[in-house]
Amino acid sequence: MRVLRWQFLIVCALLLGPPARADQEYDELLKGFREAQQKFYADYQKAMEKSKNESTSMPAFDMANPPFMAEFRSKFQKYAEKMAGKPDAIPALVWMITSERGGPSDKPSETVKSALETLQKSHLGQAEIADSLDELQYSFWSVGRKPLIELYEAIIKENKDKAAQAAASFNLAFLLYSGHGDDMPPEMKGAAGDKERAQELFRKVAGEYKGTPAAEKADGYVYEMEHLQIGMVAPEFEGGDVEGKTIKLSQFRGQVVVLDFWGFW
Amino acid sequence: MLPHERELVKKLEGKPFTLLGINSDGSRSALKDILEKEKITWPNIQDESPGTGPIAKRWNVHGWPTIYILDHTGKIRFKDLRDEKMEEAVMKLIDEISKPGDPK
Repeated sequence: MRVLRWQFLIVCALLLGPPARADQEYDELLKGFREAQQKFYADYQKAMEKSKNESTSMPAFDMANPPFMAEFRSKFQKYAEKMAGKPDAIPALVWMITSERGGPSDKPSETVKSALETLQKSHLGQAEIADSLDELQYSFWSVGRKPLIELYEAIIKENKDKAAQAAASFNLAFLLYSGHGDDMPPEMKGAAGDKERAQELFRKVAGEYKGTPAAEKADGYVYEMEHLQIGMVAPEFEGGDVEGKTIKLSQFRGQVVVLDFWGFW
Repeated sequence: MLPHERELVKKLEGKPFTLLGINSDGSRSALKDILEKEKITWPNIQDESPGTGPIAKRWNVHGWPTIYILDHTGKIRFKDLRDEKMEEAVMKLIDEISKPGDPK
């Protein structure tokens, strides 16, 4: 079931998607990528139906490494080179890191390594990096924890912008906290003391950077760490059922309760 | 998930057990259709949509499904167990009710 859980996280990460950019050329690039992605999966679906209906063999589709990915990796890389040193390069470099699929892995590819190095070398102090860090939240699964921890720590140290510091601190805290799930495979396990450090960082982001998007998210994790841990009494809540009738958690006291947060949407 | 949950609820009828759904499908009418179609008989709270539902937000839920298992005193005892593992945990906690003095 561990696998299932991470699939959900990855789907969430994909749904978040990259934010809209003012730069038209970058927008075009992103649009082209999304179209190529949609076309690839649509073709795959069609081929699957065809082979099923006509009982013919399925043509080869490289799902792990679809050809459009290689094409767009080089396009995003070219864009990043063209914008070298400017904040405009940041989303393209981040795209290259998030484009890495698969995992769990603690060995970043050459493309990822080079993108991380460029971010470290030329963009640590730029305020705009705050807007792109959210997308990296789940990338540790495919590129490893260590390079991302180093990146976030460097941003916290070098960047004077409040939102950038908040975003890097939140991502660092999230990474440290994620390494402590019981369902984490060995290559994703954190070190002793990470959980405490994460808690401290979440508190700091929620308190010192109030008003930033990172602070609101950090607040959720502070609450989780203080009220929703194993051994703690579940906080009361209430809500309406399909008929609008109120259901309170406390009305089930005395019974074993499975809380299932679910949806089909 | 669902087939196993249906089975578990049926199996534990009359026992001190409740499966409480917190649903993020956007509206009461959407949830009503799903409950009928999927033959879901256990209590469900309609908690708006992902990102807006006040209960899921307070419980810092970012992935669906997310599972918490509480004992009869209201304490959180397990997180994110599914299917057979969920059933094992529930059985263990039901046993504890009749055998008080267990550690934890």
